[in-house]
Amino acid sequence: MSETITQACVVTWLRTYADVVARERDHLTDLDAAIGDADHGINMDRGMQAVAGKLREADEATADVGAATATGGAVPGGVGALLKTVGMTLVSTVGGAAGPLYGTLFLRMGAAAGDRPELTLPEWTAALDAGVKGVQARGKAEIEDKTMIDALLPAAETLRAVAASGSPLADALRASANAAEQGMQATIPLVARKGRASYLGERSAGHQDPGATSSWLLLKTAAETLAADDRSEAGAA
Amino acid sequence: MIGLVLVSHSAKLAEGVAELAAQMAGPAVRIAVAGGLDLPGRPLGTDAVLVTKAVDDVWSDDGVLVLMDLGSAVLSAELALDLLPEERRGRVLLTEAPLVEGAVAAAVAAGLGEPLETVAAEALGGLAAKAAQLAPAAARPTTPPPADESAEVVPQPDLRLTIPNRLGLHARPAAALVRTAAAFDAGVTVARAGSGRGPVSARSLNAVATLGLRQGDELLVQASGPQAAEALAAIRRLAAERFGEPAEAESAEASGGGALPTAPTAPTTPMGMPGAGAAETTPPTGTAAPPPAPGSVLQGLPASPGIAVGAARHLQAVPIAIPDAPAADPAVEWAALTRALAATAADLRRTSETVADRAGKDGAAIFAAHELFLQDEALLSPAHDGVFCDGTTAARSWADAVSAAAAVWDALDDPYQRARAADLRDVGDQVLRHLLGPPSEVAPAAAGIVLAAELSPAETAGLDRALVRAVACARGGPTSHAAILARSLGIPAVVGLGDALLGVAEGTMLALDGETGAVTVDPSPVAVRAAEDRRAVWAHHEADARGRAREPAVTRDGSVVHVAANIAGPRDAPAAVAAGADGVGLLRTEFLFLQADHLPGEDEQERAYRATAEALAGLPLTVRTLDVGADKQLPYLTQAPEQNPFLGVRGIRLGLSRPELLHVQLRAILRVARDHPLRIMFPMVATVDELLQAREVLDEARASLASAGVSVPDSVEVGIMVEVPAAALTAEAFVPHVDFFSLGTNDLAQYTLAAERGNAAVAAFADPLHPAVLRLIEHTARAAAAGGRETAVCGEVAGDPLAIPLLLGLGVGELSMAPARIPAAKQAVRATSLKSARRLADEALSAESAAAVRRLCGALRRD
Repeated sequence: MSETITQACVVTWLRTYADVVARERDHLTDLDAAIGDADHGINMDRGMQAVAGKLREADEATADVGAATATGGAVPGGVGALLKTVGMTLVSTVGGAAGPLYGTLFLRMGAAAGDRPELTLPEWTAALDAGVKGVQARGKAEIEDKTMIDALLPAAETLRAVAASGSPLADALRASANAAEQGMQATIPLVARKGRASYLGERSAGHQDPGATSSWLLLKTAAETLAADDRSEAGAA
Repeated sequence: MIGLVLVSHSAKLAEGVAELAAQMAGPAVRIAVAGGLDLPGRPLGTDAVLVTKAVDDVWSDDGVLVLMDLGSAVLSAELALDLLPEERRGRVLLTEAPLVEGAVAAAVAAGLGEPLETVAAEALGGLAAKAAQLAPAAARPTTPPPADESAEVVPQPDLRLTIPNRLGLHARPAAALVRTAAAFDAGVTVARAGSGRGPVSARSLNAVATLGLRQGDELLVQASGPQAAEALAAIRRLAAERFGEPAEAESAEASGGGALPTAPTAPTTPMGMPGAGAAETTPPTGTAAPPPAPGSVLQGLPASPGIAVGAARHLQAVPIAIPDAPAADPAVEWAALTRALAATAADLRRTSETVADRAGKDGAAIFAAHELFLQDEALLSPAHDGVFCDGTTAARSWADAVSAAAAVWDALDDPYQRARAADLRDVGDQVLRHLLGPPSEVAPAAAGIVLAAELSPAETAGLDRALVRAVACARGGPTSHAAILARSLGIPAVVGLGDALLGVAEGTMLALDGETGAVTVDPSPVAVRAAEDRRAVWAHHEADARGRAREPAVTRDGSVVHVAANIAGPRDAPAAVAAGADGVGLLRTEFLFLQADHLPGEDEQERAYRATAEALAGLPLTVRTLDVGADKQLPYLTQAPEQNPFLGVRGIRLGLSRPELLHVQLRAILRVARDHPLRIMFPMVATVDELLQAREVLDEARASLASAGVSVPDSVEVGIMVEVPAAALTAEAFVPHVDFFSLGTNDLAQYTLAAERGNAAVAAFADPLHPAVLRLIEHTARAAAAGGRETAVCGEVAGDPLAIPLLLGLGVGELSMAPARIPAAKQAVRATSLKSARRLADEALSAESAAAVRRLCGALRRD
C-alpha cells in the first residue's frame, strides 16, 4: 500500500469507476425511475464512458512520444490537469444535473490538486474538500436534501478527520467511503428538497437517492484503487 | 446591442424558441442556442461548455442575457459562468424568466437597443400578457376557502364518512378505497371536508393520498354514472369495516412493519405492583396470574436493546432448605457464621471486580452496597442472640434474622424499601449457601429467554451468555441495577412486564424486543419470522457499528464529534482502544486509592497514569483528580461521617481540604503530561473560588517540580466536571479559567432534581433528559462556545443513541462513555445532522417532562 496517490492511481480510479457505473447503470436508473426522470444511470454511463475514451486517447498520445512510463500514462500537467479534463468531459456528456455537478466536483478538485504528479493524503483531502464545496455551491443543496451531498459531505469531512489523526491512506479512504455509504443509506427516508425528486414531495421518501448512490460508488472505488502501489498499471497501454 | 442565449435540454426546443423570438424581434437580434448534448443524435441534456460557446458567439460588451428551461439547464448555465473569463462574467445575467415568453420579450427589447437590465426586466415580465388574458378564468376559485363549508366543491356530497382509522387513510386503506371505487361503472370523486382538498378521482391512489385524510376527518364522496348507487353503498360498507383494517392490525402497523405489535393497553409500571417483595421466594408458577393467550403482547419498559426469540425459562431461585440438625456449641456456630459472612463478602468483592471488568465501575458499585448488609447490626444482633441465647444453629439464626428484617420492609408500601428486601434476601441466601453447602444453580437448564419476577444484580452478573438470549422481568425499571448490568453485558432485556409474565408456561416461545419493550407470547410463525428478521438486521447494524468503530464520528453535516471512553485505570485502556475510543474523556483515579491499603505515593501514581497513557498510544487522556466522599471512604483517610455524603466533603472539596493529597496527585499527573497528551479535570466544583484554589495547588505542584529540576510541560489543559447546578448556571464565570467543561450528567441530574441516584424510590426523578438538566447543559455549552471552549458529557446519557442527537443539538462536542457503548454511539453521531439536532434541542428545552423529551428523541430517530 502506498502513502501517496499517484497520477496512475487516479487513472485507475477513473477507469474502474467507469466500469462500475457501466455495471450499475440499470440500478442507478431504476433508483432514478422511482423519484426522478429515470436517466441517472444512462447519463452517468455516457459521461464516464467518454472519460474512459479521453483516458485512452491520452494513453495513445503519450505512448506515441514514448513517455508512457514517465507520465504514468495520463495527460501531462499532473493530477490537476487530469481531473479538469474529467470535469470538462462530464460537463459536456452527462446531460442531466449530474453533468454540471460532477463536472464541478472534478474541476474544483483539479484546481486544488494543481500540477503535482502525486498527492499526499492531506493534499487529496483538500482537493476532495474543494470539490464537495463546489458541488454544494453549485446545487445549493444542504445535508438531508436527499442529494449527492448526503454522501459526499460526510465522506469529505470524515476523510479530513481521519487524515488529521494521522491514519494511513488506505484506512482514511476506507473510512471516507463508509461515511458516504451511511450517508447514502440515510437518504432513504428523506423527502427530497432539491432536483426533480423534490416535485414528488412526501412521495420521494422511502427511496434511496440515485445521486448519493453514484457518489458513494465513486468514493468506494477510490478506496479500492487510490492506495494501490502499482504505478505502472495505468501506463501499460 | 446585448446578446441572448437560450439553454434547453432539447436542441429542437432551443432552436424553435430562437426562431420564434427572431421572427418577433427581427433578424438583427443576436440569439445563440445551447440545446441538448453535442453528441451523435443530440441527446436531451444540457452542457455548460455549449453554454459558454453560445455566450462567446453572441458576445457584446453591452452584456448577454441567458434564459434556460429547468433542472440541469440552470446548473449548467451557472457552471458556464464559472468557465467564462472573469472580466466577462460580470456582464452575463442569468434570468429565471419563462423560456418562450421571456425570450420573445427579451428579443424585442434587445432589438430596441435596451440595456441588459431593461432587457432582463422585460423578460421577467414576459408572462404578463398571458396572465392578463387568462385572468378571468384564473380568478375563479378552484379551491374554496377552507373554513367555508358552504363553498365546498362537492356542494351536496352523496356520502359523508368519518375516517375511523387511527393512522388515517394511509396507503393500504387508501388502496382499498381505490379498488372499491374502481370496481363499479361510476365516476367517483372524494374530497376532505373543510380542507379545500379535492374533489379528486377516487380511482387514483396518488390523488386520494394527497387529500391527507387523518383519523376523524370527514370524507365527502360523490358518485355519478350507472352504478353510482352501488359504488356508494360499497364505499359505505368499506368505511364501516375501517377500510379493511382490523383494529389489531393497525397497532401492528404503528409499531413498525407489523413485526411486533404493541399491546393496546397501557404499559404496566413496576410501581404499585401487589406483593412485590415476596416474589423472590415465591415460585413463579404459584402466582395467580393466568397464562397469557398465544399471540398476546406484554408491554414492558425497554431495558437493554436487542431482539431475541426463544423459549421461556423461569429462573427458579431454588429455596434453601435449612436442616433441623441440632446446634453445635454456640462459639462453633458463631464462628461458622462469621466465616460464611467473610466468604460472602469476598464473593461480593470478586463479583464486583468481574462486573467492573465486564460492565464498568458503575455496575460494580451495586455490590459494595450489598456488602454493607453483612455488617448490619440489625441482622447480626438477632443472629447473635439466636446462637448464644436460643441455642439455634447459625443457619437458622441467620435465616430468621434475614426474613424478620426483610418482612419489615416488605410490609412497607415504598417500592424502594421492597427492592432493598429483595437485595437483602439475595445476600442472605448467599450466606446460607456458604453455611450449608454448594450454591444452587441459577442458570436456566436450556437456552432461552430468562423470566424472573426481578433479577438481583448477582443473578444478572451470573447469567450464562451462551444460554441466555434475553431477560424479561415482571418488575423493575430501566434504571434498576439489573437493567444497567444487562446493558453492559449486551443481553437484551425488558423489565416491568407485570405479573402476567410469571404465568407464562415454561418452554413457551417468546419474542422479545429490547428496544420497544414488547414481549410476544407464543408468537405466530409470521411474527417469529419478523422478529428474527429484525434481529438479523439489528445484528447487522451491530456488526456494522463494530466494523466502523475505529473511524471518527462525523455528523452528516460534517462536524467531528469526539467519542471517548470512561475508564478506571490502565487495565481498561486496551478495551477502550479496541472499542474505537477517540481518547479517554474520564479516567477515574479512584481505582488507585480504593484498591490500595495505603495512600499511593507520587511514583506509584505516576506509574499508573503513565501505563494508562501508554496503553492509549497517543490518544488524549483526561485525568480526573480523586473523587471520593464520605460514602466511599478510603481506609487510610478518615473522614467524619456525614448525614448527607452527597452534599458533603467530596470531589474537589476533599482535595482542597487535604491539599497535600491533591498536590502529590497533580505532580504525578504533570510528570506524565510531559510525555503524553493529557489534561486535568477537577470534580464536583461548585464555585469559581474552588477552581482558583485548585489551580493554585496545580501551580505549586508545577513550581515544585521545576525547582527539583523535573521538566514540566509548558501548559496542561485544565477543566472541571460540571455536576453541580451552581457551576452550570455560572459557567460564564468559569470560562476564563478553564480549557473545557465536562458535564457529569448523572450527578447533575441528581442535584438538579434533588433525587439521590442510589435511592430507587426517587431515582427515576434523576433523569438527565429532564428539561431542567437540559437547560443547564445548554447554558454550559453556550457559555463554553462563546469563550471558545469545548463541552463534553461523560455521564451515562452520553452513550445513549437516543439522546446523542439531543446532546449534539445542545452544543456538546465530546461524548465519553463506557467503552462497550462507543461503536453504537459513533453510529448515532454519524446518523445525526446538527441542523435537525438543533431543532430537536429547541423543542426539548421547552418540553414539560423527561418523558416528553424521550418522545421527541424517539420521533427524530424514527424519521
